[in-house]
Amino acid sequence: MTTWRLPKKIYFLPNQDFQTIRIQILFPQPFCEEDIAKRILLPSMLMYLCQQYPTEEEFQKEVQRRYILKLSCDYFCVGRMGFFSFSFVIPTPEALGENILEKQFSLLEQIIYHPKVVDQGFDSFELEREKENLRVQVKNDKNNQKKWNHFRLCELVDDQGLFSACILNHSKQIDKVTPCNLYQYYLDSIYHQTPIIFAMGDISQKYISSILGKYFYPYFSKEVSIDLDYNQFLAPVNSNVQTIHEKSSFHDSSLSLAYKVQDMSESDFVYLNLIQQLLSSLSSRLLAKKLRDELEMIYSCRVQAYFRFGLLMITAYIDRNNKDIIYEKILEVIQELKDVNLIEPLLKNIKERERIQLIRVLDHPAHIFEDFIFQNLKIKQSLEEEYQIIMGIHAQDIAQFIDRLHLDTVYFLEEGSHESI
Amino acid sequence: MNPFESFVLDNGLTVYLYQNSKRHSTFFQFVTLFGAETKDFMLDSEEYHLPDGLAHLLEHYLVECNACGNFLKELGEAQMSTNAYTYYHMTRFYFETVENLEYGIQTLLKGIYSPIFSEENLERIKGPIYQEIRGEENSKFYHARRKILDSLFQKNQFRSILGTVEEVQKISLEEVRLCYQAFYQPKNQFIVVGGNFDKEHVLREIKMFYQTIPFSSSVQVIKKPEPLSVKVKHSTLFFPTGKDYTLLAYKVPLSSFSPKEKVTLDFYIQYFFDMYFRFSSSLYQQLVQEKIITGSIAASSFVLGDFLVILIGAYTDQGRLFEQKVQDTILRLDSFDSVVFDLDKKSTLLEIILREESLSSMILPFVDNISEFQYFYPDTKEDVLAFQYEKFKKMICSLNFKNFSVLTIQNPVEKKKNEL
Repeated sequence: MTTWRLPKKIYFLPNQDFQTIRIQILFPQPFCEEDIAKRILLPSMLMYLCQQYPTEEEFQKEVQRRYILKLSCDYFCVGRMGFFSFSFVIPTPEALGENILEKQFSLLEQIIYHPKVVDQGFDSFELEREKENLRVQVKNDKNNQKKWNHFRLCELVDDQGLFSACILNHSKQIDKVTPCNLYQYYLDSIYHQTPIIFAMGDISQKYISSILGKYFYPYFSKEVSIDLDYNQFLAPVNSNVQTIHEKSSFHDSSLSLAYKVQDMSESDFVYLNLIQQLLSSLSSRLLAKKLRDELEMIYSCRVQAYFRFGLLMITAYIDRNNKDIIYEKILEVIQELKDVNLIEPLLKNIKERERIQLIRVLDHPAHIFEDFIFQNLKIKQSLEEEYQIIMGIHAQDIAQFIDRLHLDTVYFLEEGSHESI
Repeated sequence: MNPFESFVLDNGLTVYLYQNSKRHSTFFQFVTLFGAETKDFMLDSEEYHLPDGLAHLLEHYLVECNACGNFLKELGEAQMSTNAYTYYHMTRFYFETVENLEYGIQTLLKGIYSPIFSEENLERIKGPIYQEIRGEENSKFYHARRKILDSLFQKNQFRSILGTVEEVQKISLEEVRLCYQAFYQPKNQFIVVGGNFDKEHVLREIKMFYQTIPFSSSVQVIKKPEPLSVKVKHSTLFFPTGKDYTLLAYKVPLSSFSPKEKVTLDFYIQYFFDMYFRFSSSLYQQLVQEKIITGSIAASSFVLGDFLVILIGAYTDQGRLFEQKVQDTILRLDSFDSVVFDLDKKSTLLEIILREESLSSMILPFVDNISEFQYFYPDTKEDVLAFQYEKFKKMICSLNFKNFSVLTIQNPVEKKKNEL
C-alpha cells in the first residue's frame, strides 16, 4: 500500500459551457466497520441545520435565499479508502444576475464547520429521529427484492468482510450512536481533517481560489495524505462453485452468478469493463439477446463490475420455473466471449461507443467534474486515457481473460407464494 | 433562451425544433398522445373499451415487431442512447446521438410506422412484460397506487400503466391493431428535436419520410362522466413495510381550468406543498415535535382525466392522527406564506434559466406541457415573472379538497393479528 501526499491547493477545472459552478469538498476517511451507522447518520446532522440556522425551516429558507441548487453530503468508498463528500452546485453570477458567491460559500462553511451542537453533542431530538428513519430504511431494504438480493450476494462472495459491510448487517450499531459519540466522530473525520477541494465552472481560477481560500484555508491545518488502499481483490470462497438457494416472500425470483478474477491486477480493469459492456451495453446486449430476444424470459438483467474487488456479478430477474434454462444460457453467453469471430465486431462497436461517449460526456457537467475528481485522486484514469487503452485491446485478449474468470457463487432467491392483493 | 420553432406538416403532425449550438448531442423525441389512461374511444362509429396495460404493450410491440426489426436495438448498436416509455397521457420513443442523426430519424420512424401484426409476435413480447409486472409487484407503492385509484374513481377504470399479468394475458391482437390504427396517426403525434443539428436538413428528412406514409382514420376518446365523490373512503393494504404508511389522496376537479392555468397550477401546487407539508410548514414541525412522524411528508400530484390527484403520505404509527392533522390543515388553508412564495418563485425562475444546461431538462417539461396539459408552449421566464402571491392563494383556495380517500399500508403480520 502506498501513501500519497496531496499538494495543498484547490483543484480547479475551467469550463465555459455551463451556467453553474460545482464544488466538491472531500475528507478522506478510511473505511471502518465499526462506524457504518455513524457515517450514515452524520450527513443528516449537517445537512438540515447548523449553528446559525438551527431549525430545518430556517436552514431550508437560507439555502433557497442563497440560490443553492444542490447541497448534499455522502460517503463513498474505493476499496478500503473512503471519503466524506460535500457537493455544492450554484449558478454563475452571470446566470443569476448578481454576485453572491461570498454569501453562498459562507453558508457552505457554516454547514461543514459550524453544526448545531449542544453540550459537546449533536441535537439529541434530531438524532433520535434520524436513527428511527434509518431503522425504517433498513426494514424497507430487507423488503426490497433488488436490494436484498444484492446484499445477500455480496455477503456470499465476501471473504474479507469489507465488500458486504453495510447497515443491513450492522443495524445494531444504530442503537449505540449517541449525540456525543457522533459529534466526536465528526470532529475526528471532518473538523480536524484537511479538506481536498475541487471546483469547476465558468469563473476565473484566481477569483474562485481567493473566495474558497477565505472560507476554507483556515482549515488547511495539515497536509492531506491518502492511503492508496483502493484494491481489495477477493479470493474464491471455495475451490468449487458455491450454490445457494434461498426462499423469500418476494413476488419475483432472481438468479445471480458471481465471477472472480484469478490473479487480478489493475491492468485487468479494462477487461472487466469490456466484458461488462459486451454483456449489457446497448452496442452489443449479449445477455439481453439470449435471455430476452431469444428466450423471452426476462425483462431486464443487471451486470455489475467491481474493479477494485476483481468481481463480476450478473443478476437476472426471472420466473422460478425458468431458473435452470436461464442458468445454462448465462454460462453459454460467458463461453461465447471466447469466440473471437463473434466478439471482434462487437468489440469494434464498443470502441466506437467509447469514442462517441468522449463527445457525449461534454454535455454532462456532473460527469466531467466526476472524471476530473477521480483522476486527481488516482481512483481512475481519465475517459480519454481509458479510451486509448480500450483501443489497444483485441478479441483474442478478451478470450484469454475469460479463462481467468472463475464462477464463484450461484445464488437463487426464490419467490414466495403470496395471496392476491 | 433559444426558441422552440414549430412546423405543422400537411398530415397534421407537428414538429418542434430547439437548437442549441453549445451542446454536442441531439435529442429526438417522438410522442404519440396515447397513454395508459386512455381506455375508451370511438373509431368509425364503433365504441371500444380497453384493459389496463394496452398502451404499454403497444409500445413494446412497436419497438420489437416491425419491418425493420427491434429499432431500439438498431439505434443502440449505432451508439445512440435510446429507450421508450409509456406514461398516463402519452407514449414516448427517443434517442440521443452525437452523429448519424438522419439514420436515427429514419430508423425510429420506419420502425413505428411498419408494425407487423401477428399472434406469434404478440405472444413473443408478452413474456418480458409479465416479468416487468412481476418486478413492479414487489413494490408496496405500486400496489398502493393501484388501490388508491380504485378507491378514488368510480367510472374511470384506469389503475396502472403496466396492467396485471392477467389483464395482459387477455389482450388480443385485434385490440393491439385497433389501438395502433386509432392513435398512431400524425394528427395525434408530435416530434421534438433539440440540440446541435441542421434545422433545414432535419425538417426535410422528416417531411420526406411522411410523404411515403399514408394515413387515415379519426378517433374520438370517450370521457365518461366521473362523479366528484370517491368510491371508498378508507382502505388498508397489507404488504411488507418497514413501518406503517398512511396516504391521503385528494380528488380535485380540474375541468374549469384552461391549459395555461393547469401549467401554472403545476408550479403553484409545488409552492403549496412547500408551505403546507414540507420543512417550512407548521404542520410538518408539529407532527415532528409530537412524534407522529420522524421522516418527511411526501407530497406529489398528477393529472388523471379531469382531476388532479394530490397524494400526501408519511411513515407513521399514528395513521388516524396523521390523517386528522393533514385534513384539518387542508380544510383551514391558513398557512399561506409570502416569504416561501417569493423564495419558490425565485427558485423556479432560476430553474427555467438553467434548463439550457441540459437538453432533457429543456425538452421534457415542454413535452409534458403538451401531453399532460394540452399547452403547446415551453415555460418561459416571463411566465414565472407573472406569478403573483394573491393569484396563487386564489388558485389554491379555488381547489375543491372535499373528496379524498385514505389508504394505510400495514405489514401482513398486522392483518393476522386483526384476524385473531
